[in-house]
Amino acid sequence: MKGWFVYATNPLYALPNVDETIAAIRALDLLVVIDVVPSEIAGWADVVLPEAVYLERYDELNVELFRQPFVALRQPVVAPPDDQKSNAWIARELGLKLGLGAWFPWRDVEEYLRWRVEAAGLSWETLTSRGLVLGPRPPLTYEEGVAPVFDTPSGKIEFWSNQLQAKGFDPVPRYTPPDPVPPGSFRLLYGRSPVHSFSRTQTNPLLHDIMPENAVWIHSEVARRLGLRSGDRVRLRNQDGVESGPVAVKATCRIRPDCVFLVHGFGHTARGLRRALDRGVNDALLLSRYRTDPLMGGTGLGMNFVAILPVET
Amino acid sequence: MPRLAMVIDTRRCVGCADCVVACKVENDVPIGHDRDWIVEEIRGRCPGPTLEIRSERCNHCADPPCVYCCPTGASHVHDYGGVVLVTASKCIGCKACLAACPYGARFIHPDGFADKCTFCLHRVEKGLDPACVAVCPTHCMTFGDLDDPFGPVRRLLDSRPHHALLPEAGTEPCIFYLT
Repeated sequence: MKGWFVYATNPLYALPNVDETIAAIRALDLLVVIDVVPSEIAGWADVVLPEAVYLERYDELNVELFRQPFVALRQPVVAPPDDQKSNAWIARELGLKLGLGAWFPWRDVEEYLRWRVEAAGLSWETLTSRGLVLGPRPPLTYEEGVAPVFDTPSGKIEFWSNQLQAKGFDPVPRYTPPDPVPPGSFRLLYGRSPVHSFSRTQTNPLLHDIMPENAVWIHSEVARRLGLRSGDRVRLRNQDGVESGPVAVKATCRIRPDCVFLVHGFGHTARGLRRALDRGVNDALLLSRYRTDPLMGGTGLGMNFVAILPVET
Repeated sequence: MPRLAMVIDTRRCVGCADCVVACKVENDVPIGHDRDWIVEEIRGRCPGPTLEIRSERCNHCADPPCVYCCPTGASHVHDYGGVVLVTASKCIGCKACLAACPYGARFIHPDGFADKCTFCLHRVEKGLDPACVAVCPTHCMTFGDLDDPFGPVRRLLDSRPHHALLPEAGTEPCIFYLT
């Protein structure tokens, strides 16, 4: 792989094993980051293309086949302050430079979107004035008239799958117990707070005011045994010797005694993220191990264990 | 004349703090201060604790100690809806109301006056819900007239178990939490 275009994501926080990600970046000839956030990945980029934010641009149509299908359109409500360009403009201009103009037969994104909407038999005026066009609600259940036929060789729900067996998997999924927690350690769990989005919003003044940093959740009984109280600072060290910076303890009975929990997205190191700099810790650093599910390719991160250390060590 | 009140369903609230952000933006509340906030209260002991998440704010009490203690009349009950308000130009920043409020609902604005939730009266007068109610993604808040026997506030209170905060303070709060 020679080049990597990263659009509005921060792989140094979104992926486990940060060392692997950095090694992959170092092996590239070109890293281009398109974003509105001066994130850690932007610091690694050869070229940063600062995008217009979502209130300043059109985006691709949002076509969803949910319970009630719909087409939704994001439209600009203000102009970008310094003529920042949208993702559609960036893609088209790069395409033209690469001699791929035939794939971009429109002047601008509005023309492209209007063409798509009208080709689908919808009214551009309706969509732009309402922002959303709802489709008819298709039948979903047996009672609503859907035949009970499934996309399997037998047409039925298959608890025993000959397809899986033929590929060398268990025909009935078998429970594989997780790795046991080593003594003196805790299984590291990670997740979201409803306040922040990914690792993108920690510098937002309003959200920072509500939640400026994460804390490590520790079961109250365990905290008492370790002589820790909510607000005390500790460090975490994982099974591979990766150590976090100081993080506040949240002693709570809302967690199992053999686990600790971190809200994802904190512990920023990019200088441009001034408000979020060194606030809390980055769970991705401590998630140095992962396993890929051989069946469906999902990544499991639940096999990382941390010890709780005093801040001084 | 209505008696304005709010009913908040703690079984729906997820604590996302959209209400806090909406209030800050709508009312230009300075960073570092809040007119509303989220409380996560755990009751009971391990292993069977229960969690109640609450969006809290001024309770617009029917018997408001913050009004009685105000030496200048800045803290007052508004003509409409029983809303407790502060007239910034009359406030001398003495903080008696901060001490009197059992809910910690008030703060001193950097410009020197006591500030707090107004039930977004400027919106309510236009027939709109307060900003916090309008933005809630879980629709956990209902705003209306407590004295209207057929209104949504009264209907919820008549049909669901609920509690107010610190009823023992005797302030007759007008924010109710469904449980």
